[in-house]
Amino acid sequence: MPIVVNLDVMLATRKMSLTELSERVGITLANLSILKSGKAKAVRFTTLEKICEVLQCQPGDILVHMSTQEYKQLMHRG
Amino acid sequence: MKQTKKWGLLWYAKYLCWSSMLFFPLQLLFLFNEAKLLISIRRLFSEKNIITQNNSFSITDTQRGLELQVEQPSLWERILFNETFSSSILPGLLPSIIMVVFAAYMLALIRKVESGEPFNAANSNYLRKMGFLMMGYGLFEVAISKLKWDYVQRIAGTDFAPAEMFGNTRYVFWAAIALLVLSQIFKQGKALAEEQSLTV
Repeated sequence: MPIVVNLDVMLATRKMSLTELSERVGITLANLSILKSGKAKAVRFTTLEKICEVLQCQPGDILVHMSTQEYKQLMHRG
Repeated sequence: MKQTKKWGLLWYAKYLCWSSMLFFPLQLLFLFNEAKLLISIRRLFSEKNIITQNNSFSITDTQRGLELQVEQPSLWERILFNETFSSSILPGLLPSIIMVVFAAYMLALIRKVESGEPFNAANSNYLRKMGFLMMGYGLFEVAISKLKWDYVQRIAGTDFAPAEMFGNTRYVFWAAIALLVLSQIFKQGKALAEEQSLTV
């Protein structure tokens, strides 16, 4: 799916661990890992709202849309 | 309350499956008109065949009041029109076997439902197989009926139309279609459940 989740970048800039985020947001670490790894099929607005609240950012900072070509290139590099 | 009803229904379905699985093989072994089936099969292939009292049989068109009398029937005619074959083996033996397989699939399906994950690939497959089993049986019945129909009309003319030849196969096809549709619903349910589990 050409929607990339920039959660790791946001966490790194705020020097926050995934465990801390999961505790503050109130969702399980497993679910947060699914989101971070890009395996998630959907994100609830409530989850997105809580993440944005904790990380003090906009939804667009976390979710980025790419063209299929760009996405493939990114995956190839990754 | 609802939960109790649901499990009650599952237990009842389980009971039906087990009883079918036990009853139909027993029916194959012991029932069938007090083992007359085996005797009839032996007679069917024997030279001294006695299908009817006078070594002939008749087919009636009740709507038009016509009767077709077949004297000295050949082996093929005997098999196709033998009363035991058409009234016991076809509607008895084949559905019994199908019923056992059907009940086994149904039990597997119930077990999966009880495990708390009704929408999975296995259940969709069971339903699909059950649907095709039903469809196959319906087609087989239609094929036999068509053979009988063609044969009778070839020797007695197209006016002769025994009404009872085509059974209630349409219900079998309806059941088969319903099962195939259900299998698709389970397939989509599986996809939805998967999506739900990957929603954060």
